[in-house]
Amino acid sequence: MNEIDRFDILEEMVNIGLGRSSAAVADLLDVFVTMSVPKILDISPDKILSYLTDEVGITEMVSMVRQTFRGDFSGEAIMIFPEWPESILGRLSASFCDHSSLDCEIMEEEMLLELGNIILGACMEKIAELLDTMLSYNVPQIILKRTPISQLHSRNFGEERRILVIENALSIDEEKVKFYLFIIVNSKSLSWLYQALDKSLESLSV
Amino acid sequence: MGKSILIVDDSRSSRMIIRHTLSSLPDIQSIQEADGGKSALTLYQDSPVDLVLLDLTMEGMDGFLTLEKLKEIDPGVKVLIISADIQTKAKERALALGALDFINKPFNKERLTSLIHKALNYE
Repeated sequence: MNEIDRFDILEEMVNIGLGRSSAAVADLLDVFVTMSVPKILDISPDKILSYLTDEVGITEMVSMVRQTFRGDFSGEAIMIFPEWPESILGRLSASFCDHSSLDCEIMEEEMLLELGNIILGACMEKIAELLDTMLSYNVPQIILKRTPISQLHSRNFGEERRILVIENALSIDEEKVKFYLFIIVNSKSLSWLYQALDKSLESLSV
Repeated sequence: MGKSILIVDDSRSSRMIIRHTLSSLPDIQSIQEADGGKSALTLYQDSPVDLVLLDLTMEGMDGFLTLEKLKEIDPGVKVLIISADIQTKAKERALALGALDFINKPFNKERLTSLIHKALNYE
């Protein structure tokens, strides 16, 4: 199977995974979430910064939530928000925030972690299921919160690794929340992934 | 008489899987594919089919808009939705727009073929 076919299958799996994520967010917020089509790229860590600044267009602040996973296929999933997801976090925290600035800031961080956990968790779990494997996950962490992008370094993503970049957005009530999901793996895990994709066409129907 | 089906999905692998599932059905004479809403409308206008299998999440014209436009072209068009969007509201919206039924991805082959049989025999 060539790389184009593999990426097509992976995009469809990610689409199914993000369908689960969108439904989870929709259930939590009691809203309708409009999905967009995921796009996938494979890039090296030394291209991350230029990708985020030149391709994505992030020039100022960035926020990131990371969750590591282990199994046949191990690595990190990082959600990157080029813009602070105000609308979703506002909805999530509205019930709990009593308008004191400290409580709101702590609540925002917790809601960002929760959002990352929901989206990353639902998506990765479904992808693992479609790849006929099981993954275990660590607790998600905020690694950057409204931080200047200039503080991001390629070495933070490790050397000799590959990054699958998934560009996606959720729209709630016409408001689009764009995010990027980076799945960072080493070459051994990437080989496993490609072999699993080669076997996996049948898993797209059951 | 053999039936004709149009698969509308921007994912090539998804179209392949659906086509493979349809190949097991004895009364399907022709299967066409469209990789998006606009090409689906063009194909349908040129050559209406007995059943459209339609994805919702597509670049440009999404499945909801495609469904609306298909209904404008042909109010009697039969459409089954096959989608990764598992929200109840997505299903309700599609049915309200006139879809016959809705099946989530990854779909169960037996369920899909059952829905297709039901749709093609629908009076």
